[in-house]
Amino acid sequence: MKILIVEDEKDLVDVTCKYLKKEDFVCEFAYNFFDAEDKLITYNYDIVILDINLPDGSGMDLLKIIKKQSPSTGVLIVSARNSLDDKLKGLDLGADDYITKPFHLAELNSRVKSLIRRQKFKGQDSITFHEIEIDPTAKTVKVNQEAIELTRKEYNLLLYFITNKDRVLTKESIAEHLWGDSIDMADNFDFIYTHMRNLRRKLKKKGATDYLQTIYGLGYKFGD
Amino acid sequence: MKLINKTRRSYILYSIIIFIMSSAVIYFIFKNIVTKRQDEKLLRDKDIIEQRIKYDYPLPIFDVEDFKAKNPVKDTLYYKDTLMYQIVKGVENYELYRQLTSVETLQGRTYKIITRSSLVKNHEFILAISLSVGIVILLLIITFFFINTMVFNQLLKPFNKNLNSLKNFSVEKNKSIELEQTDIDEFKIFNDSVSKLTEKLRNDFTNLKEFTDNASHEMQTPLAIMQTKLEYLMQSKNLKHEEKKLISDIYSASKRLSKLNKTLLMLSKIDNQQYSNKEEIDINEIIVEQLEIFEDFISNKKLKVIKKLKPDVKIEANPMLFDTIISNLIGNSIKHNVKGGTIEVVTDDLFIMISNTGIELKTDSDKIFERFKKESTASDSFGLGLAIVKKICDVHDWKIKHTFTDQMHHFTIYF
Repeated sequence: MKILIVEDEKDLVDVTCKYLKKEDFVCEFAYNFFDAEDKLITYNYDIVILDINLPDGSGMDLLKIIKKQSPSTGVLIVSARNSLDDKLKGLDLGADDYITKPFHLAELNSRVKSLIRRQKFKGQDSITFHEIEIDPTAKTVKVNQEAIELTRKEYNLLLYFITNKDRVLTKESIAEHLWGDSIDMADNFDFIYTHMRNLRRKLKKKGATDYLQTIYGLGYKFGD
Repeated sequence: MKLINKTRRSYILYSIIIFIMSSAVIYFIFKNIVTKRQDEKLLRDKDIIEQRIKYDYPLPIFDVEDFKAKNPVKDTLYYKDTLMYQIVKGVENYELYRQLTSVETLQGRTYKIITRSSLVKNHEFILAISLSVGIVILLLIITFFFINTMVFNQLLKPFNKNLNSLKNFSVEKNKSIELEQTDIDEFKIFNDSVSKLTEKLRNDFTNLKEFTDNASHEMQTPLAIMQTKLEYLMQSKNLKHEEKKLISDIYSASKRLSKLNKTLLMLSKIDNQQYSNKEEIDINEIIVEQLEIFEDFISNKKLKVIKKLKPDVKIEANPMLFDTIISNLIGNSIKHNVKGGTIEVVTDDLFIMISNTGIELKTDSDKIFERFKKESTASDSFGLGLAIVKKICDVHDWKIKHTFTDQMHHFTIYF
């Protein structure tokens, strides 16, 4: 899962990013409105942690952009302001949750996770696609009730495919989602094949149908 | 050469000429006056002697001889300088005399009257006067020299100060130039022009900066729309083979364009010194981090990574730019490596060296740091990676060198 933090306090971004990376999220950040807008226009995020007060603009305007561009992105508003107005306005504009500064990183983590659950897994604790079952909390995968051993990258790859099932995903977007925004500077994405091949092999071994299709010239699709 | 030295030099030169000339003129004027006076005196003496002869007065101490010239020259009267042999206090020497010779016939006899007067005293007198006048002139020249220097420095003080602030002026600093006010017209005009010029420079720079930022930012939007729409188009069923190929080509072209856009924005941001804040950075930490990011690329090419890292090497640098340098160099060392090749990273107090196996360059080592320079035209890269690395090195006053030995490319940054 890829998260964007929009926050002008660099130290806070640093700490939050480190924490979320440990929790196995791909974490991107922007220190101001301008950079955040650039990133939101160019890349996709699962969750945006958004500070309302930015030096060069209002987080509310970014919220509008997010909701217009990709409605499925979960937005968590962060602000030092304890004003009810801001809270209501943010939620009205489509923010999904709200957290007030200062906050505990553990709380932020829980809120992000619950947001992902609501946003991506339709509120369920686990996602099931035919014989494949993913438990996002425990980060385990079962095929036909049998546990399957996956590397971190393979797990994230499978999760990305399942949450975007029946969609053609380009190599670029897969790479960006799993490795972060800066990967778009790479000249080729051949390294994805290795992970893809291993994931396929492991799923097949446990008797799963091969749902992963290569769409000529475009990318990959996971689905029936 | 400093302006003051230039004026001093011509001042001294002209002073010497004037000094010599005026001394000479004074000497000759005085000499002339004194000689004239002396000649008058000699003439007067001669007249007195004549009078005495005429009226038969005795001539006091003079020797009177009949002048028996073979051809008596009548009415001769001439002055000349002559040396006379004499013994003064037992010392023989010659002394210069002024001498008036006249031959005249008085009461039937021809007299040759010679009157003389020593020139030594006159000479001393003339020299003394010339010398004292010369000393006065010399003193005046020296005094003027120092006054000139003093006044000059005083006058140039605001100018020098302004020159200094002009030297330290930088468009990136976002601060107007501060000039010392003066009441000298030329400097006033100069100050005005400099103020106007720097202000214009600052404005242009800000505009350009904003333009580049905005242009890049605005360009990103349509590119992103293109990509989103293309991704949407990809989802439609029943796409023909050729159509998929077309979509794929447009998609990668748009991706390339946005990559180029990002890179150019980065270059212009470095140029504009928007990454000027510096922090202490642990080199090894960044290298290990970047190698981790590239892990998949490395294993995909089956590369061997050799790390020779000296612990606790810290440098002052902009964290974002330092990340970029390491990321670009490691990225390059993977991209231009051969399958199963080696990457070697060496750090030390004074340098970082990142090496990789590869084939020798066809172009010059220094040229690879130029913008849009690349080895193979088939390559997908823009040839901007090393230009960025070079630029970052320049910003930090580091040196970067490329060498090729034993089938290995070495990029070394010296701090």
